[in-house]
Amino acid sequence: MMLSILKTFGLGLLCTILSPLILLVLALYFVYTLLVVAIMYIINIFKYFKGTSILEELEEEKKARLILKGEEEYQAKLREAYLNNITVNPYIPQNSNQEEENSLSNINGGEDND
Amino acid sequence: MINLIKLTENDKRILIAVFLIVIIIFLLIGLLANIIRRIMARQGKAVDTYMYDMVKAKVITTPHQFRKIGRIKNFQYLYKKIRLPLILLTISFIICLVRFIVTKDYFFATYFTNEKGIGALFYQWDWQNAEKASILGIPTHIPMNWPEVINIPHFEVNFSAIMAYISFLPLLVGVILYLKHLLGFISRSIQTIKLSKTVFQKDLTNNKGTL
Repeated sequence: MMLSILKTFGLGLLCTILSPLILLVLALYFVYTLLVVAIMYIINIFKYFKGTSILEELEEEKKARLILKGEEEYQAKLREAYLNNITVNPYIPQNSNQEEENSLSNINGGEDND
Repeated sequence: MINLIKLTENDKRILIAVFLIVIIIFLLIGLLANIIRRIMARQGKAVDTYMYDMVKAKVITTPHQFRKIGRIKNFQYLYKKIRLPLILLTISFIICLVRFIVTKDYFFATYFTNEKGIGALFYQWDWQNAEKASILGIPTHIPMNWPEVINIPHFEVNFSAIMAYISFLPLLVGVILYLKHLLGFISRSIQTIKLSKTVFQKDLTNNKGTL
């Protein structure tokens, strides 16, 4: 109890001593974020006319979503096969969704080309 | 025994009071800093949420990539969150601008005065004319008694003051929200750097004999 009060007091003292520096950092970040948000706003206006948005998913996020979805489906199929006593080779993905598979292979192919 | 400093009862009382006030102020600042630290830690957790899938799917494989994507996502997050405070600040700024143009009073300090600004909304004490204490006969700036109240919250009815009242609420809420999101932005930046160092770290020390 006493130790925590002392710690809080010490923190208060430290914050008071460092307050000019903290205020300076906050002020700099304030200006920086204001500038960045203004630039992002202008970019977003251009993107709006192109039918996209600055807030849309990144390429990496799309890739991750597809990969995780594929894995989930494969796991579900394995579980289903196990419950129905069907032997499935775990080393060959049994993905029936051809479209999904194609998009995944395209992504992987695209990565190789890079 | 020779007394170099002879404190009267009154001096002792003043010194104890000042000492207690200083301790309480530092404690309050420390508590506030603790609260801010907790808020920042909670806001930093957002990085884990938006980066988790990309790391799990092994789309991101290096610390450099992590920091790069983390920075972009942080800006996207900030842009999404900061729209409300910016709208509030813009509304407040427009009202202030109208006030300045109509009254032709471009001196910003009038925004805080009692007659034309928001000053009338707050309690005000006459600290300047309060009786000051003296220690060892030396006059100090420490007030002896609680000073007199010179302003009780009330509304002034004139265009300049009314416009100041209207603009004050969005300004206050906007600044508080902006500061909150600013701290969130800083804490997410720190968390991104921290995670980029630890997420891809391979630890052999705790895996002795298990490999």
